[in-house]
Amino acid sequence: MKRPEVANIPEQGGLARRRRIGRVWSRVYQACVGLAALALVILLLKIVDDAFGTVAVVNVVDPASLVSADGRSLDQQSATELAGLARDTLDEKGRPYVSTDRLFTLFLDEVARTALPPSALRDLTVGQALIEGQNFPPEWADRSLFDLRLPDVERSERDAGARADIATLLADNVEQGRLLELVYSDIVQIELLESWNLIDSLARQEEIQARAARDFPQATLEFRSWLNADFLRTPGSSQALTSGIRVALLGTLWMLVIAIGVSLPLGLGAAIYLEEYARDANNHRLLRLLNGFIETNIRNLAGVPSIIYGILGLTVFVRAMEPLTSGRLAGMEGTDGRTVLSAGLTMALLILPIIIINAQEAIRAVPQALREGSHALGATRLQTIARQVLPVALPGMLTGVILSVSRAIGETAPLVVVGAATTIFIDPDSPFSRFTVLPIQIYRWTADPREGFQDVAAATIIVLLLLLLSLNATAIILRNRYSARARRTV
Amino acid sequence: MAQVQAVQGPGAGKSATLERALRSRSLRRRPRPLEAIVRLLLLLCGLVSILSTIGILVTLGENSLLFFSQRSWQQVKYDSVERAGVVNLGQDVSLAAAMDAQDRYVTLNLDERATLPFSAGQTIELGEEQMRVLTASREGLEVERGANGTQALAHPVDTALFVHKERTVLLGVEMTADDTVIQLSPGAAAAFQVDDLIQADEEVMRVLLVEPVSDMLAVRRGEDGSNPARHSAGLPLFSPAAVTLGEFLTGTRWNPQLGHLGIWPLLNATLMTTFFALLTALPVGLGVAIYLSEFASTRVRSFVKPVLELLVGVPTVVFGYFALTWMTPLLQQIIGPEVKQFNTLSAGLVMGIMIVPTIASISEDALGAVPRALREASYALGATRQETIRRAVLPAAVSGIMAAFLLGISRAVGETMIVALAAGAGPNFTFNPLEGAETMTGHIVRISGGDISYNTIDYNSLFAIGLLLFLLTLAFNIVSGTITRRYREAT
Repeated sequence: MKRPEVANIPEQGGLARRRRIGRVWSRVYQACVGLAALALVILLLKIVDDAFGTVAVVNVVDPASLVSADGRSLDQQSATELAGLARDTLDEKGRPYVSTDRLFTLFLDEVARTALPPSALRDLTVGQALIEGQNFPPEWADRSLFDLRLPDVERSERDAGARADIATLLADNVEQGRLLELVYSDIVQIELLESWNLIDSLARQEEIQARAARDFPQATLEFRSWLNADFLRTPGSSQALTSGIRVALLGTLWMLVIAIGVSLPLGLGAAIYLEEYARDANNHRLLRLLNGFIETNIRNLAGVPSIIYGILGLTVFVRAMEPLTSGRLAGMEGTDGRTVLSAGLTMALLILPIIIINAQEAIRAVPQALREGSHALGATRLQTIARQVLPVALPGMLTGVILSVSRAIGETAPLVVVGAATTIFIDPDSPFSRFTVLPIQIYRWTADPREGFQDVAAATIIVLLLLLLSLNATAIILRNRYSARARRTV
Repeated sequence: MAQVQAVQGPGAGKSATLERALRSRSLRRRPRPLEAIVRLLLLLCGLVSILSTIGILVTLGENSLLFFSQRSWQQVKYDSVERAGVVNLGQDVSLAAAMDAQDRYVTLNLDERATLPFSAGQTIELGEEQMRVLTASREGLEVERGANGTQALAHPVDTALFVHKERTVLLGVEMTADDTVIQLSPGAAAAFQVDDLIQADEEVMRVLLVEPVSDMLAVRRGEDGSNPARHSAGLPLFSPAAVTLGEFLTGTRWNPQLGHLGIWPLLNATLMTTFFALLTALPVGLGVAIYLSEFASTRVRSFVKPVLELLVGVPTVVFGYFALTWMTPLLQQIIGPEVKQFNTLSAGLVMGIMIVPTIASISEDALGAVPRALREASYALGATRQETIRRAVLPAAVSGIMAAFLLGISRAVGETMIVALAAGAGPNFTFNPLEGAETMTGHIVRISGGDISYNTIDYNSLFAIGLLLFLLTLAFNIVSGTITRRYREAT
């Protein structure tokens, strides 16, 4: 059969046009997908670009100028010589590099090793503070510690005396390595002059070298990975070069353990109730009404902006429950409610709806036949739930838990409101510690205009994203295995 | 029971025992205390979520109430009647021509070099009469006669003009911590009544007696737990004013310390970032959804879906970093240096990228729910694929897309870290997207980020903002959820 002749149908040109428009639009839709993917790629590239690159660094004091009289370098000098350097080295304005306060703090940390708050030290004597076997001139035994820590009045007679006394105590009781560290961090001091990102470092190497040679002749150029082993091991710092995320990582862990520990039992319990008991026909009308209300309530809670949870946490956990969250009931002193416990509890409330909704879905996916079979064998409801429903639903529930953990890891706003510490160098060691977490460090460092801190933020982001990625991969693997098993079961 | 009886055959005695056993310990009726307890415990778990909601509502509500009933201290103003003086001639202004009761025009004896001490809306006083100035020029004033219930009178030439001025009340003479008498600037005592509270520096005092002739007040020092202190002369005095809901919802200045409590600068910034976010996210998200539901092969879907899921999983603070360190410099390159380092445009665009997956996934559900018959009918009528999508599928899915749109708004309004990092710190009532402006969430983060002291007006204002934020997002979520549920039930 001959195909109908369409050449003289007037719409024919129109049809071609319509098809063309259609093709253009389908390109537009494709472009939208491309745009979304491109955004993700640029985001990741930008982060990597910042986290690696060339830096120009310079020593504030040349270590060569700190050699001893007989020509031994810093590493070979004794503790006494190093303590002497810490005591005597002055900057160009005539101020000591290592302040008396700094020396005294070191003394407290390394020599006195007392757990008392600084205010209580006032009354201790040198004899009381120092542990047996540590060395100090016998006539100092009755001097009060506070007497050692005189104000940092510039080059005053008494200050010089205090400095000398503390330096003596340090030299006698602290190992050489710790003093060497002090000399390097406080006197030699590596200073970051400028930092270039990865793409510039690779593409415009000569330009950077020329610029560095012109602007910072003393500086050394080196390639730096901001993400390195030390970065994970050291606490935060006022210097970009020495900043690390140790405290933030530990803070994140503490917060997660508390949040999951609280919300997991509550969330799974609520989900089991809603799926297994709430639809019971025997329920009283009032109870049914309550169940419906719980259900709607959970959906709405999931949509509440996270910062509102922060305000809730600030009022309820930080303020109203302060005796509990500050640890005063547990005998802690001098703390307030802005602890990792408050943060964990706030986060628990935030992820509770996510855990409930996911667990509900997992339980709902358990085939009804399984329950009926179990009942038919004479099992009670509780036995059916515990031995049939939960084991089958477990991987699905676990997926939900992992998803809520990744939500908790990335949340920032509520923790800022609850009161994460701005700068903190001490590891959290109890639920009542002050804390900071990874996203908060990212927030602070991104907002920090000083050279290098945005690179530190980028390195932290990489750590955070890797954490999230591994969690999500686990969730996906679990989900796949789960759905395969669910198919087999049905 | 009937069945039990039916199966009873030989050995009727045995079955009678069974029957008794069944009757007394019927499986249905058998008390199972353990199960009852577990069930109760599980119900309690569910109730915790309600506690959470109640907690949010009570916290926000209670503290917002505190905020709206709290005293914000405002400078005390009083109406002072002063001789109208000409600034650069140092002489008083008087009538240049006599006026009678009907005249509506006042001729002034002003020199060319004189600065006009009048402005429209001001009240002037001539003898016993008050007039309201309608227009003011160098030659004279057009006035409304007999203002404030006074009588229009005739006035002779050279009558001195007095003007009403609003002045702030200042401390006239220095006071020590022990003084119980305040000497005010002349005429200021009229602004006070017995039992009023006054704030000077940090100290609060209560007025016990007003002496209008000598402008002195007798006060009790150190009220409200404050400490009496020395105050120097010229110190402005503050009086309490409650924050009203109307002021909060209509005011265009936000500075709680100075008593400006209008939400609009913050709300406006939130709306602007939301607008730009939706402007980006809606077309892109919808495009992605159409592509995924109408065009994409399974293989493409298996690649695109994870990409979208990855975008969902990226913490918002990372997007904030992206906005500040990539988007803003890019905008500065494209548009020029008038783009400030913190601006609502950059924050809004990046927020849009963040919301794309949300909008895409809900819209895709909505498109997928459109019955196949509708598409087939459209094809049968000769429509191209594109026309089918635009004229048949999209209109049928519009409610679902609406839901996605509303949820997107809700997420953009509640989003915090992007705006905290990239939109700017400090309330700014502006419609220029290239300038920085603080949003509601950004303000909450900035204010609470430091060591905020409790029960200050700053602290309590957090809750009023939080309540508004909560209600806004709740409204969007509920409407969006209702729509989503409706089309889910329909399919």
